[in-house]
Amino acid sequence: MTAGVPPKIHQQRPSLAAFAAAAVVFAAVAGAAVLYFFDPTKHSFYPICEFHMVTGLYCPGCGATRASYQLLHGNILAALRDNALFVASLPVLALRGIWLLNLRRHGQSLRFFITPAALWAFLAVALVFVVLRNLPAFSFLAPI
Amino acid sequence: MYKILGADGRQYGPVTVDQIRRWIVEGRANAYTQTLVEGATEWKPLGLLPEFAASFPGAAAPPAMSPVVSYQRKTNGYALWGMICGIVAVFFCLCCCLSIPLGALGLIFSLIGLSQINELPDVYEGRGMAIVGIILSALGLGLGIMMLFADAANGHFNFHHYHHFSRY
Repeated sequence: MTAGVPPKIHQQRPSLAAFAAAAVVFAAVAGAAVLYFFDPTKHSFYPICEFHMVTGLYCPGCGATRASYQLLHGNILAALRDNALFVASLPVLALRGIWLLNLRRHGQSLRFFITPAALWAFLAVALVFVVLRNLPAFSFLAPI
Repeated sequence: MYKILGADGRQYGPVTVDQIRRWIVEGRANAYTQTLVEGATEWKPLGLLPEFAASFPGAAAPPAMSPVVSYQRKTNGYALWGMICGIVAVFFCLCCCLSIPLGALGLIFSLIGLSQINELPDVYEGRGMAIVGIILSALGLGLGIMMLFADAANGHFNFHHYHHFSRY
């Protein structure tokens, strides 16, 4: 039998998900740069929530731009006040990212970054959140 | 002594346990590499051999390999991504024109997912996610288009009227 050395096993090609993740990261960095310098409450070039414009109700994402602005300036409480769901989901996603990177270092991987159970849980939380923030008693969940 | 089937499909070996371990470290063999133990007649994936268990940390269960059929159904990726797109389209992007492309994308993903699940019900699970994905994506798409028309019909009135309060 030959005494050669087997070739290296090629790593998997970057998946569509990896490409999408790279695009999202790029967009996020560019968006953060714009947000940092232009306060969304003082400049009118930001996209406007059409749902809120038409119905007067707050959607689950309403206040996310303002919350991002506050986060970029280190005002975590002000950010929470603008959109608590958005701000609370960021550390969860970040921790998941660290978890994934840690697994990768050991040559393992995750099948899903967001698991089905987490997705169902998020859907439930978001539904409750959108109802509450439109009630007067829970107006602290609505953006300023 | 062991023989392995390299990534190029050729046989390598027989070599010692230590040599195989070195090849694993160098990325020339992995848990799925077909291996023939000296004296045995059957090729087995490296991950199933107990003497190499330490080389594949975290792989508590032996890797699912053909021809061993995995009896655990796996979540359909299209269904999951369809639901994610649907949620984002409805919940977070009614607010801008993203709900139309995201809704369309979510609808496509969810429909592919559902058809795959229907075709291979023993392989995939995630029917609920596909269905919720279809509903949410269609909702996001429909509302997005409606908003577009409402916007056009109202001209710039709403923009100026609410412009201070309705930031996304």
